[in-house]
Amino acid sequence: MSTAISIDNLQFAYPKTRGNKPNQSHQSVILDIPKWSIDSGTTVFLHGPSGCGKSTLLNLLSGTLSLSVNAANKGEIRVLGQTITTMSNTNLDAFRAKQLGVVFQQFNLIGYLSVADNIRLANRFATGKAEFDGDKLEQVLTKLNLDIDIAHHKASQLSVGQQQRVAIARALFHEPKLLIVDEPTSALDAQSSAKFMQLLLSNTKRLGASLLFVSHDMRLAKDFDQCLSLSDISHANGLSEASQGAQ
Amino acid sequence: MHSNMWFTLAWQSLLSRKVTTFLTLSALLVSISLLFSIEHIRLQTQENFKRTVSGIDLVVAGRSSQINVLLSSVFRIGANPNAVSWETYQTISRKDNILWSIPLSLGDSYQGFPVIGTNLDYFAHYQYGKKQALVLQMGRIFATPTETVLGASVAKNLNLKVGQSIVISHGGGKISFSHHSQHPVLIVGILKATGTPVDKSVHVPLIAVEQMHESAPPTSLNSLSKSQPTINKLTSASPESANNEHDHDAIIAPIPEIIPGTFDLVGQPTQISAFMLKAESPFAILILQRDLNRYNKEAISAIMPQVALAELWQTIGAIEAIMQIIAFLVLCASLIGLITMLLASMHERRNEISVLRAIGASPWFIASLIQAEALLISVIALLGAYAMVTLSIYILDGWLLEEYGLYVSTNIYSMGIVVKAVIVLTLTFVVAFIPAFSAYRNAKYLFR
Repeated sequence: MSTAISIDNLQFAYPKTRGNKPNQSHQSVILDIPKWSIDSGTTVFLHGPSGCGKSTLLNLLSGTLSLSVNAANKGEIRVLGQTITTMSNTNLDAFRAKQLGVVFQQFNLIGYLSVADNIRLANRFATGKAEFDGDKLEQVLTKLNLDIDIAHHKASQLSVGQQQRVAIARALFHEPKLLIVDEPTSALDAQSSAKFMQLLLSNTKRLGASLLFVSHDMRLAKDFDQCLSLSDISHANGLSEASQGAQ
Repeated sequence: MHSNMWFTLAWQSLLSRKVTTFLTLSALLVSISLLFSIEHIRLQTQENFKRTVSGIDLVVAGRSSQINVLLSSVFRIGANPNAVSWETYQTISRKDNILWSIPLSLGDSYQGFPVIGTNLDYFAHYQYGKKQALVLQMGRIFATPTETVLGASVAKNLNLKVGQSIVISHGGGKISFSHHSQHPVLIVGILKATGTPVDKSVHVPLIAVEQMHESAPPTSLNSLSKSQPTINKLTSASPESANNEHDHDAIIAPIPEIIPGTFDLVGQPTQISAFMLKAESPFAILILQRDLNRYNKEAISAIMPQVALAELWQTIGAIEAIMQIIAFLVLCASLIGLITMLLASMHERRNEISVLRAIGASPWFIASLIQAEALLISVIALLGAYAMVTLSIYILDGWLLEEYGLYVSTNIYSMGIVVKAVIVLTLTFVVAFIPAFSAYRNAKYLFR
């Protein structure tokens, strides 16, 4: 079985910042992962206390954060067979658009755009094409228990629960191979959260994509293929005082 | 690659901040309108001045500066206190190397419009624009001492028609307490619009000016009354009606047929204000000008209109430059407002930027989005300003013509306007680098 994510000898520390200018001194290692991998098509629940470096790991995996922010950082990260640590920024942006689906804790949509335009925009970056399959949009929304009429609503007009489901719809629309999800249920109540998890997992399985789900809420872990603590794979102690501000 | 999406996103982003966008747009709209207005009026003024004189080699008047001679005799702005004697005019106009000359007697007015005493050569030789001759839109040229031909604007603005009589006032200006009420004149012709001061002029025979300034009633009027009772009825306006300057309800009768040359239209004036002349060759112009400026029998000035015009532009040029600098400073203030608006939005747009980054947008794309927003506002402001200035001129052109004698075209398109528009877009592009760079940094280091 091929690997969705593979990390070798990763050591990451934020530069101590003074304003916006990186300062190379006084760095604290946040992530120290000698070796870790996820097989393709598996769903992984990664947990850990706040500030342990979960979001940093996700940002590194999605390419929105680069090892180059600090010269002392090292290691190799391979995502879907591509070594993203050596990719140019342009290629990394294109890779993220085409191969990954990313969902944050909240604010996953551009508020002033309609639901359809949010999804169309992501699809445009992913495919580079203006064509947009309206039927597919209807299917994806339906599978996430969203009314098709919602497509024309402004994202800012939706409830938080609806926004998170639309975020999943957007992330899955171009059928990515890997879905990276960062505590998406933190703003949802227990019932909505359970419903959201059920829809997320069923749709990810349906597409055969890998899922890396990060949360500190262990109640959500039960339906995943793997459940890991960040401390199981990383020897570092997470965010230190030196880098708290940067997070 | 993403041009349509890029535009839609920029447009939607601006719409999501309607109030700040509207205020910024309004500031830019006003400043660009000011810029366009100054440029258009500047060009139109130059055009107006340039088209006024065509085919006239020299203007001769009583000794004064060449700008004063030009303004007073050609543009009917201000006055030259020094006149030219009729004797001098006759001596000079009979020179061999002069093809024709037009005497001008200025000083009186009709409801603020200048009255020009002249002869038939005025209508035969005066040219404007691209050597265009004066053309009547109705009626005929004056043939008796008690007739007048109006410029198009005078007739239009005062709603005067051929067949009506008017009473000339003594001196210039709109308000006059002295009217030549004993010498009403009959409107026999109205000229087609020329876009020059001719449109604002009331043309009467030279002899009429002379007679108005004498106490005796016009002799020719008496002789006319015998053969043309209609004219008598129209021209013998009572002093009361004369004080009302003209009566819109007066009976408008057909103007009489007069054989040209029947009446003396010049008389024996002692002096005139100026005269225009055409020399037989370009070389003769220079010789004539030199000779006339050294004329020892009388202090006169001979000016070349085009040279005087160039000097006038040099003088006005400084004022124009100041006006343009002020307009650019106002534009700069508006552009600073634009940058401030975009910079202020950066904080609230962190989420939007993070979403765009997550779905694959590069920091460059995000920076270009800010540039697009700035340029969109500028383009809308440019189009709005173009429409606003056009509409304003459409509404105000009558007033500008009446008050300032300015023919301002409603078509404001010109190379100057295009250049100004390009400057506005370039400045927008340059200043928008500040918020665009801020957005770039935000996008690049957002996840740090």
